[in-house]
Amino acid sequence: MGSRKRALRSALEASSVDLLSYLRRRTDSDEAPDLLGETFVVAWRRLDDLPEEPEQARMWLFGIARGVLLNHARGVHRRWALADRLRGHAVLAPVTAPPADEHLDVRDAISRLEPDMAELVRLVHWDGFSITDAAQVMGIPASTARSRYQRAKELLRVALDPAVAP
Amino acid sequence: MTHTPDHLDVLLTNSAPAETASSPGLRHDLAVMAAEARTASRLRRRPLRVAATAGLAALLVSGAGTAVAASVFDWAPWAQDPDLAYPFILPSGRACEARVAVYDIESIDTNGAVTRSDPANDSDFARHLRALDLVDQADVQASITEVRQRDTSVSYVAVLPEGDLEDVHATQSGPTEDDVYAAAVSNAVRDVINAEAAAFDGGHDYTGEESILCEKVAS
Repeated sequence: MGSRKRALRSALEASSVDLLSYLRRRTDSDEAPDLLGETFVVAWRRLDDLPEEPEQARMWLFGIARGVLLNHARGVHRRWALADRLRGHAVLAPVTAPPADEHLDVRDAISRLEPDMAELVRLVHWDGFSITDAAQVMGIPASTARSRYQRAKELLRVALDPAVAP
Repeated sequence: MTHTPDHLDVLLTNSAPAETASSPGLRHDLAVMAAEARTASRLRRRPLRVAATAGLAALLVSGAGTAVAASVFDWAPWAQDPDLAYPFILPSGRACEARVAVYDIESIDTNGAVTRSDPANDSDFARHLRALDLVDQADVQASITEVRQRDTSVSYVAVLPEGDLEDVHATQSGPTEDDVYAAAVSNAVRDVINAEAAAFDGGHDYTGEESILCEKVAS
C-alpha cells in the first residue's frame, strides 16, 4: 500500500496544475480550487483503484475531476479551507491576454452542443487529449467518442460558418 | 471567414481559455493541498452519526473525559485521549463514537509528504478544539442533502457489520439510511474542524487522525 500512496502522490504532483487548468476552464475560477480539493480527496478515497501506469493514472485523475464537475453542476458545493490558499495565489490570475471576440463565438458554439459532445471537443482541443484518451476520461467507448466527435465538428462547422456547410 | 477542417481545428484549439501558469509557489501549495486531502479523505472515510432517538441533538463534545462509549470500543492508542469525541446512535440503534486528534504540520517536502508535530505535545489548535462546544455548528441536515446528491454508482461510505465505516464498491441496493446519515455527519464534523482551522490564527493548516467505531452486528 505504501508504494500505491507514493504513486498517487506522484500522479497528483504531475497532474495538479493541469487539473486546476481543466477545472478553471469549465467553471468559475473562484470555485476551481474547491473542486480541485474535492478531486484530491476522492482520489485518496479511491486509492485502491489507482492505475499503475502513470499515463493511465493521469486519465483516472481527470475522470475523477470530471465526476466532481458533474456533481458540482448538480448543486453539490463544498468549500475547502485550504483552497483559500490557492484562491489568493497570484499565478491564478490570467497570464495571457484574454481571447479575442472571435474565440468567444467559438466557445459559445461549443457550449450550445449537447453537453457530452461539447466536453469531448473541449478535452481534445483545450486540454490536448487524444480522442481515445478523452473517451477514457468520459467513460465512454472510443468508437462512440470518435463518431460523437465527428458529429460535433460537423455541427460546429455549420454553426461557425453556414457558407461552408455540406 | 472560410472554414476548412484544419481551420476549424485551429479555431477550436485557440478558443481555449488561458491555462494556469505553473510556478514553484503554486506547485508547493498544490502539494500541500494534496497532502491535506489525504487527511480529509480519512476523516470522511470513517463517518459519524447523530442520535436518532433525540432527533438531531448531536452529542458533540470535546475531550476524552466526556466520551460515553469509552469502554465499548477498542480504540487505537492515539484515540485514547482525543481532541474531539462524538458519541451517537445510528437509526438502526447501534451505538457509535467518533474520535478526532489534530496535529500541527511541522514540514511538507516537495513530494507532499507531511511531517507532523510531536503528538505528545498538544498544539494550540488542539487545545482550541478541546475547549469548544461544537454541537451547534455541525450542519448535519445540509450535509445529508449533499450526500444524497453524490454519485454512488462507483462507491459509497457504508457502516460495516464489524463496526467500521469504509468506502465500499457500489451495490444494487445502494447506501442505506444509516450509510447516508453517517456520511453526512462525517462531513458536518469535518466542516466544523476545517472552519475552525480556517478561522484559527488567521488560517491554520493541520493534519490529523480520525476513527469511528460502532457496535458490531450480532451474528
